Amino acid sequence: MTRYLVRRLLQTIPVLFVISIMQFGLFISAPGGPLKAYLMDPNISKEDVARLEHQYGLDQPVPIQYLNWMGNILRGDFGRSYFTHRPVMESIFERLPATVELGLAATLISYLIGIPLGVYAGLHRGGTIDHLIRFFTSILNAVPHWWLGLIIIILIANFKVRTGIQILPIAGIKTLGKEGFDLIDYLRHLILPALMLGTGGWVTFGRYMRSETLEVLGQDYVRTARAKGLAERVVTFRHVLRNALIPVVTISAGIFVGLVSGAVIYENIFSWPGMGRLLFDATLKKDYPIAIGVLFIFSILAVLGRLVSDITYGWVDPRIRYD
Amino acid sequence: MRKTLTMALGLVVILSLVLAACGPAPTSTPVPPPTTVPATAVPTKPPAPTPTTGPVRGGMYIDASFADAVSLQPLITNDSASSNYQGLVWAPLTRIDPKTLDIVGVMYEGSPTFSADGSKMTWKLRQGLKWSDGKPITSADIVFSWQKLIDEKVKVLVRSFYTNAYSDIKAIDDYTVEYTLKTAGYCPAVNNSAIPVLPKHIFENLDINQNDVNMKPTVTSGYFQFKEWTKDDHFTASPAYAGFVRGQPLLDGYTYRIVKDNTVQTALFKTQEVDVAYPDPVDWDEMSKLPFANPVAYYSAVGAPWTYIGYGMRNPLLADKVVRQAISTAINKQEMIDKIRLGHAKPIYSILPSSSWAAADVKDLPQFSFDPAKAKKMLDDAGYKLSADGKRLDKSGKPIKLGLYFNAGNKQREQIAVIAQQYLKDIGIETTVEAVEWNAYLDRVMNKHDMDMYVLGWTGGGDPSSTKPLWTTGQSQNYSEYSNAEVDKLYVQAETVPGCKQADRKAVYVKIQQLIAEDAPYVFLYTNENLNVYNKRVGVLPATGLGVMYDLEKVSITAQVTK
Repeated sequence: MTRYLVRRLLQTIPVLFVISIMQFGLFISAPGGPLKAYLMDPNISKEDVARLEHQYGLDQPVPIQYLNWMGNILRGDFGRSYFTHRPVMESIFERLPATVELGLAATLISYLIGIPLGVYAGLHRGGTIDHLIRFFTSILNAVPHWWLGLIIIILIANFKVRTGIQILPIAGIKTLGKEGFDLIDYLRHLILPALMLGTGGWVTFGRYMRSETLEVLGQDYVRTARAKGLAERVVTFRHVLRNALIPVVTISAGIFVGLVSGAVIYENIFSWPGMGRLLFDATLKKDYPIAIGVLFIFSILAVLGRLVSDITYGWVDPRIRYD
Repeated sequence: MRKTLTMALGLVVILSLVLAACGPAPTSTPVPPPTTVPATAVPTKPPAPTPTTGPVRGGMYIDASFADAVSLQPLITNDSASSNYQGLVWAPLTRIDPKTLDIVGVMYEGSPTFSADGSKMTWKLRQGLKWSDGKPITSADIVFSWQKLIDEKVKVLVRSFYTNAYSDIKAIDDYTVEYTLKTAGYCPAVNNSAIPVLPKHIFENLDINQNDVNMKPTVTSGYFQFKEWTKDDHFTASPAYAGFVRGQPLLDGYTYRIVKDNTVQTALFKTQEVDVAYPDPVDWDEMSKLPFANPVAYYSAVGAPWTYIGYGMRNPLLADKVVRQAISTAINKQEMIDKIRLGHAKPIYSILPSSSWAAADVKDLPQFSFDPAKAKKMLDDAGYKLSADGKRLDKSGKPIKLGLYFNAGNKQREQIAVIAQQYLKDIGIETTVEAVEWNAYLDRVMNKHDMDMYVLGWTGGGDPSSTKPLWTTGQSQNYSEYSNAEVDKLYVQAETVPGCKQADRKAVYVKIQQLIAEDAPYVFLYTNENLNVYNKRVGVLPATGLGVMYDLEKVSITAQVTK
């Protein structure tokens, strides 16, 4: 197991190296440059832009820019933003907690809604509830969740105008003017973005759990358990649920990584001050150090997530062995 | 049965909630009419009434911003969000007078004096001004800021804006500052004199590019002191600074809430979590009728946004003035205004919106009024004939095909491009419309000049001299590569009009506007009406061409209204 872990960790190094080249190459090869947009401003001259490009090393050949960037990263320095001049990692770590909290909350919602729904639908195959669950999960699979988020925001706002009652906050991380940290206020702000971000997750979990439950229900050991006279609750929780959960557990790490990177859209809609918004802005402004830094963190999370998935798979399913 | 009933009841409740939210919003009676202000500084109608019983001290005004600021360090930033935040915590040296639109002193007194040969400009600093830590603000702070502005190590964005105007700034005494002009009698010198002023005692031992004070200033001079900044969430300046040069503000604080999506910003106004919204024309009527809304519509005298279709004059066809004039004649601006802006805009005919003090009278400008028959005749007469199948041919007999570009995602520009395509088709010109990603679009238009036609906009600056880089030969913002030697000469002349009187300068700028309008390097389309909706609890000021918040120290929170 240890050998396997070490080997997999070592394999991540060339993977991350290739990812870094691709990310850097993609940003650098895109048209324009971080400072070119300033030429929209009549107060800024070509000379101003050229001077700053020289100061930032943007006038150097691309391979040199890459080597400088990579050399700094190996020394633990991800560079500084072209605009704020602040260290990249400072900007990222400032926002990382908000994104991770949102990702975790969305993952939790995915579990709490998706698993019971999927199991219930599987156990009551062909019933009204099963049809309803399949109907709504199919719709939710087809509808863009960010669009759904916008519609809910509009509904909540119009409801407030009509009734004076605001069901939930629609933007931000806290109520403006509140001093200090208020857990209830924070959770109220978290609900909508986490629910929308987690929708894809619980729909996926629900569908997985339904099909896995149906498959497990048809297994001999379930039939045997029932034949032995075990209570249906025991059969469901001890034999069906435990075995149906195996594939779900293995995709969880991947789902979490997907949720964290998917935060780019939801953070913008719900004004959630996380890494997704940072990446979005940095990409638009072509603030390469920030954009590549955030993507690099996402890449590390994705590679590690895959590793955790593989390890978890062996842990929950004794039939899997690591060589 | 009981389960089915419960489910049915649940569905009814949910549907009721949704229907309640979807229905029309209640309106107050009577609804105050939107305040429409002409381009000039004088409004034609009074601003909408607010439930005020006189200014009240205290309260937090919550603004909505599409973008977060970069830094509170004015030397290294130039984005509008940073300028907005900085405007709350740093007092300016000068400002635009909301009534006369002249540059007048704020920390400086009144107006500057000039040496006899026009090579020196002297401003007097008001005495008794203090930084928020009680230390006096003196000319040493201004000279220190100037030295940092020209320091090669400091990553100043707009250095040439100042260094093109001044070769040096020095202190004559604690309250007298002398600017040495690069060109004697340079008229925009007054306009450029408001360099950002930093407290020397705080910044003299810091790296201006990177220090903690840039993000959390401890010593300030503006309306409010710095309180907190959660990146991409909100920025709050509070409390009010009693020593502010124009007097302690009535508000106790000002918050910018960062909301990037216009739909969400509108929703936040409806939930009264922000005090202002900037609705699109399509939402204007609904927003204006909200019971707590005070709608304000006006044409900006400074920073007026206007939209145009530009040409790439590397295309020999478009280098022909007659073709450009014919295209201008073929496009119905008013129809665009009615369809795209729902009437909330007015046509422009040259380089300055009518709100500018230097704007030419419309009747003195070639207007190329909509007349497709005339446009066709202009092209026919110039040798661009129609083929038998109705296609316009160039002089070599090939059908004319033009590319018209706009930045992807900008709905307004997309509509302009599509409507223009139809107008051009009506005179036989085939056009392909193409959406381009923003950075690629800027690269195509600004750097490579690889376009036939493009849709873009400008924001009119305060002083007409700021348009020089757009229209003079070889300049950075002259994307169309327009060149007219007479215009180049007049721009230089306008900068050094003897005495720099506004009327004398205007006469030169009117000639420039006439020449450019005649050359038709753009299809000048329209300038937008600013559509703002304020919460009635905000005691805004009488509207002028600078809006209703120009003297921020006088803005107040009057009362809480229908929550």
